[in-house]
Amino acid sequence: MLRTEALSRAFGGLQALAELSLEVAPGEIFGLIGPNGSGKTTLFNVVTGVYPASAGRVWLGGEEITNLKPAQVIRRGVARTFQNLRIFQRMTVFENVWAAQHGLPTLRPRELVLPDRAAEAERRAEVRRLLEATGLADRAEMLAGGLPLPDQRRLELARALARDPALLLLDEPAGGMTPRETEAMAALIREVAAPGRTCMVIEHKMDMISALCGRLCVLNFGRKIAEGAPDAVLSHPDVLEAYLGHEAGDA
Amino acid sequence: MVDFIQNCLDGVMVGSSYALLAIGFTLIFGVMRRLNLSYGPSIMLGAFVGTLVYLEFQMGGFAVAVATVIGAVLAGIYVERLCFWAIRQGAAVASMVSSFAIWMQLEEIVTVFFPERTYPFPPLADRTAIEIGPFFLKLENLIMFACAAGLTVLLQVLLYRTRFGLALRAVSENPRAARFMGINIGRVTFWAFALASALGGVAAYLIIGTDAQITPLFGLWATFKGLIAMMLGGMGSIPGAILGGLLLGVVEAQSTWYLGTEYRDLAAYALLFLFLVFRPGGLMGQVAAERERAALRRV
Repeated sequence: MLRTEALSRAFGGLQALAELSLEVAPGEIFGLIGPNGSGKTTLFNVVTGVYPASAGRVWLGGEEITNLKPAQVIRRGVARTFQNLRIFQRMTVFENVWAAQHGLPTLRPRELVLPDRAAEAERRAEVRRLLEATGLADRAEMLAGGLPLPDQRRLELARALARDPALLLLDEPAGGMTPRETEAMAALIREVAAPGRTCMVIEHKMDMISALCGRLCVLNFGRKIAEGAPDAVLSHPDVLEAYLGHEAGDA
Repeated sequence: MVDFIQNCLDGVMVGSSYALLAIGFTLIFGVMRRLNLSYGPSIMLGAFVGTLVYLEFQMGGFAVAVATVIGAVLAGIYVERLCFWAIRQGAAVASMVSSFAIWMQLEEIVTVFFPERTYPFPPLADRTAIEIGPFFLKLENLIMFACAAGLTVLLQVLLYRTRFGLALRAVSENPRAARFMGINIGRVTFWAFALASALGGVAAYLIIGTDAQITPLFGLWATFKGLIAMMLGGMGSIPGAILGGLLLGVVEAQSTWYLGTEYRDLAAYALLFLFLVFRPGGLMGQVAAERERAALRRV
């Protein structure tokens, strides 16, 4: 579904991504872990065209998308959430998801001003269905900026799902959540977000990621240091070293 | 007391057109986070297109209004392409300075074709007044107020009931997120400019129609009134722009009555100064900031 080949990105002298080659198979939930600053979010940013790649190539379902603009990548069925939330705070929860249907191929330009009643009713129903699925239905008319953090993360997920993406990139979907909330988010990803699409998840919470993902890739200083099934990867000596430094022996 | 209320009535009606100008500024500022100084001059150019139709083809009010709006929209799009589309991200100062340059250019163009100081413009209404108890309402002011109020309601419907409005609000709040929702920022900006210019065109027609004459200085005048009203209301807030416009109108009407016409603009600038010092966020800026803080507390 998504394939990168020797993908690199440098910021001045800092090599944020170094010759990263990955392949994410259709339908899988692929985990991306690594210490802070190891290049995980940079990978999302290069894939979605926020930053151009310094070298290397990216394919999406057989089509090369290296250095396409975000709008072009989005149009090819990619959606993402953000580690530092980017919801529309002064809009209602409903409007946030409603806005995310913008630019879908089924939306004709004249509908921007003159809505097609039947089609729009269907889209609104879809928004309500997504809010229902993410547990936000009773807060639909609240201003999104007033939601507690876990709900804001769920809203970001609902908003990404509104685009019905083939590839969903989740950047720390459980960031700042309690263990219970994290578990609920994992269930949400497994049961609502993942079926029928490919997911990539960045997360620091090992329990969540190893329960959720079939395969993991570990980055450190922009390089891949391990890849494979969660159990094997998380006990890999290089991974322990990267995460725990010299205290690895004590862990 | 009767005088004071009469002044308030007059002020609110004239202020409604200031509110339209302030809304135009706010739409552009909200979407671009940049100041378009050329806003006034571009609608002034539109008004001269209206004058041309009036003088050359002897056409009446409605045709002149349509010509004014079309002229203002075309001039606004010209400004958008040159100052904002061509100068992309991050260069807010460059955009503002070039909008100043376009201001001078538009004024020059108009003075080349219209060298006299003033030209006639079709009056909005004859000078009748409606009497309600001790108060007089001028017909032209009533028309101005009705048009402004109607347009504001229409704009509200557009912003809150259509997908275009949704996209515009999304871009003005968080352009980087909007981009990932499939919203074409360039296109939204373009139409926001066109919309702001159309509102400005209507405002120009109403204001100049009340004076029944037009001068190239109208551009400067409109930029000042719109900017002051926007600053009073709080930058980036449409309800703020409306309130700011009405407040400016009332303060001008009161100072004209109690102090004299020569103090009218002085009072407006004094009001702006007081706001900048004591309430820099404007009337609605504080409300928005307070709401944001409350939202953050809940997180």
